[in-house]
Amino acid sequence: MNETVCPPQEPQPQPSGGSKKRFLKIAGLVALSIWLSILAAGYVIGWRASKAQDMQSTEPKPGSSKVLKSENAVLKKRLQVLGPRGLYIIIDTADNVLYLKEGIKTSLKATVSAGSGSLLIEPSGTRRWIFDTPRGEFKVESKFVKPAWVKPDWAFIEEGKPIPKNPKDRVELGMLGDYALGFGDGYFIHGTLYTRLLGKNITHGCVRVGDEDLKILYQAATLGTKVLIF
Amino acid sequence: MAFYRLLFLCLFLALRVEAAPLPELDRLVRENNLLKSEHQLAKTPQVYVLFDLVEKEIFIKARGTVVKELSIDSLRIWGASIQVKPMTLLKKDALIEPERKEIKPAKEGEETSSELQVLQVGDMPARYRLSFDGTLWLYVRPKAEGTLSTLLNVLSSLKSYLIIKPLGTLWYALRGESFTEIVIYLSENDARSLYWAFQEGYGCTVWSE
Repeated sequence: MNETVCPPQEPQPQPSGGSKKRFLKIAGLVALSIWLSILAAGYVIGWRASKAQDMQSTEPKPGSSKVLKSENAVLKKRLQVLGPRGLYIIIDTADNVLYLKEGIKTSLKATVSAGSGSLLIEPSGTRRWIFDTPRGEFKVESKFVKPAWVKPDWAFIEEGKPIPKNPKDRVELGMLGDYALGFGDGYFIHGTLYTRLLGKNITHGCVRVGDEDLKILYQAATLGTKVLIF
Repeated sequence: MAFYRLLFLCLFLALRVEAAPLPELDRLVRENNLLKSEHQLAKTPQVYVLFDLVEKEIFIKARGTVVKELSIDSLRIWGASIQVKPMTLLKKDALIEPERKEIKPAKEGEETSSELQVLQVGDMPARYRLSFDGTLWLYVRPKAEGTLSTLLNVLSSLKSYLIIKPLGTLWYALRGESFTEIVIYLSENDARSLYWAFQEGYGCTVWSE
């Protein structure tokens, strides 16, 4: 009788959940170590940079204190000279507020309406307008009583009307209030029919002011009065 | 464990970095640099911004005249000390950037839409990054007022401590440059106002100890 004896099988290495976990754990630790090394290196370099520059701070020669003091005084004066003299106007387009000032004294604070920041594209796509109030330093270049509005092309495009060929057809009376102060490039500080919208960014770039404030402004400002807009 | 110790040590040292009071002469030199920088900025008709991190104020200026003043609630500075020099705002980055609204022209015979297509200061973000010459990043965040803004500020701080500061420093160090990160906390309105007023291309200078 032949007896078949199966040789004992050698245990096959099987991928167990334990070794996978161990591998992931080691990989995680390596990644964490690398990350922490990078963090530490970054912090050490940054810390050394701030320390190094503290120690490197400028070392003026003895006796230069007086020179520096006088130089600083001159620079302060030069800065003062650059600033507006006499009355000047500040327009805050974010808060829609206009200030009439002289030095640090404010003689008028008025709620206004500045540019809407909107975009208008001509249906043909050829021209586009962005209705921002310009920012920076300007000056009053012109003053008008009972100004007439000469409607630009964008006004007709916005209203969906054909652009007139006759310049007279562009003129509209009563839209700009009683007074207008031009500050360049066709931008004006003027009155408005829509007083309920004062305080909002609603205009095409001009600055609208209420009737009473506009009168004060018109009377106070002269040609050349500085206008600072931000 | 050693790594954690090293990390905590580095964090501790980083947080302990405080500027020592400057001697008089050094202060005068820095004031001189500030005045020179400002003079250069004020010579142009453009609006510019002065970040006074010592007095915790932001001055929006034109021709040397302060047109608006914003108070910094708190701030953090990391990295190389900031040189007092005129800089240009290169980019403003926010998660949701304000978009201009387009006016739809009325069709012939139609009334103009009464809906206001406007961009107001309230549409501006209160949480954003200002990039200057590439090595200075200034983060503006609203001071925490409520659970959501507190949570967002905590997340932003984690991002700053775990990613921006170490990686930014390392990245610029490898390129042979220094890196500075400033985080300023303003009231939400002031943060929006600053975004509105400080346009890309405008000049600024930072005054810090």
